[in-house]
Amino acid sequence: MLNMLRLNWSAMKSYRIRFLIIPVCLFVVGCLSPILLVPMGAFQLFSFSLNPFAVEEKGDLNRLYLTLPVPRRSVVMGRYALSLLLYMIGVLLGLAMMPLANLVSLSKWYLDFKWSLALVSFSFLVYGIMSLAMYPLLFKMGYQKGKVWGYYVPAVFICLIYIAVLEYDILVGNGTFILNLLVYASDHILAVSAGMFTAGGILLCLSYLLSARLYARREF
Amino acid sequence: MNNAIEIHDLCKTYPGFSLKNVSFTVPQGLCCGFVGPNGAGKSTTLRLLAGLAFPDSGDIRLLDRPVCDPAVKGEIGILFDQPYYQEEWTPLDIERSLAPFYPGWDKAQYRKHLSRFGLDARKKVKGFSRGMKQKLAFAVHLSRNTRLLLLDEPTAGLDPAARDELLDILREYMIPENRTILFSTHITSDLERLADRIVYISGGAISYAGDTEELVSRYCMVRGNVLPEDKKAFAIGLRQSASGYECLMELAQIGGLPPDNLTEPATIGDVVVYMERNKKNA
Repeated sequence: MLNMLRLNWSAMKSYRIRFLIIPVCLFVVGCLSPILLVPMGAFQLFSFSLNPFAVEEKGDLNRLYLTLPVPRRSVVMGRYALSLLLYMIGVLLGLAMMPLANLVSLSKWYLDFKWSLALVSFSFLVYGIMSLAMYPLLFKMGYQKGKVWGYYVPAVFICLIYIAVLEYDILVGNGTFILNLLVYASDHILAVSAGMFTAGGILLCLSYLLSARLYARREF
Repeated sequence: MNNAIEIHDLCKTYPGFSLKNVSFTVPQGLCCGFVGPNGAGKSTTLRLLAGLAFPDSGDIRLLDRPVCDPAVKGEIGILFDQPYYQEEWTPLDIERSLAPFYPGWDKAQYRKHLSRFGLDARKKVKGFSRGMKQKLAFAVHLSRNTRLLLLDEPTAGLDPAARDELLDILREYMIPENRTILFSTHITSDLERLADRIVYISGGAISYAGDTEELVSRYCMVRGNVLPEDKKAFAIGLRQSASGYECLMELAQIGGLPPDNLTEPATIGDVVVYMERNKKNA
């Protein structure tokens, strides 16, 4: 797996320079609110982990991988390992930049351990959702088709859900729906965090199993 | 003698094309040319051998192991029309990326081949010509101590000098007795210089699989002014014009031809061309 990880990282050679943009983008986001740093860090690094898919179509990387003496599921595992590693780097980067962002941001946020855990677990849940939405389609269809159905379509879908929740919240009699949710979460922060971690983990496992199955039968 | 490649009743169907019960073997230590017209199924067969696609039915064994065994690829070199290295990679990046997968990787051999082929180890792949990219791929395969090479038109698009150089590399690769090559090509003159065996595929089915010498010695080219009526049934790919005729014919059938008819040995190219013409005429 380590060899596959190294190979995927090497394959992204032409994209690596973009890695330097991420801390800058995060800092700009942090200037709005430090609370956005961890989810944005996770999101940006997850997006960065999609580069091997972009690169594989340009350079026929799949054929290179399939000429290696490794089973196809190793290729899948290598991508997920890279994705998970980058996700963790994104979270750590977000957490590390929080004190710096607090100095200059428009809103101040001083979190304790439990709320930091909630942020990380929420990011992990979003990471799990995005992995399940994107990776199986990318492994099945490749980057060009996969990014439309695996990224833009779910992004629109999530926006619609968000709008629906907001609309529901402002209906007469439901004015405190989101507030009630947040109060409940804050009262049971550890349980909610554990639930989000578990849900994210389950989604990630489902994503891997589906990807391995689809890639095992893909023809080139 | 063990077989490096064994294919039994291989079938694969795509819309508009199918491989039909393809069967042939390539003994170890031989160089086998895989020849046929465009769309005959050469690349499809090679993709199935490389594990890039899956057969509908049939059995493939490489070096006595099923093709689905990933470990077999440790001893096989696969090269399609171009190597699959990232354009931003240098030969050193290729070594760093691929060597960990192959325990038998010989670093000194790799550097030696790079030097011999005139490849700058720090130059990006995108800066190499087509011929240099092919040589780079061979440098990789030669450094891994492979026992089998699967090549899909390795000399396509190369100038004659580069092609000649590549064929020398392949000849050199075959010097140790346990090495085998299967390569598909349209350039039949390459086969005459290299191939011990020929597999001829047409329309998704194997038309011939055997020794090169036996194939070309079975036929000859016949040219003349008028082909006797009783010989027309034996003419393969007959082409007639106002100035005369030419066709391929089995050696056993040329007896009784008029003395002004010319016969000359057939090349592999002649056999392929006239066989295909015969199918179109039929």
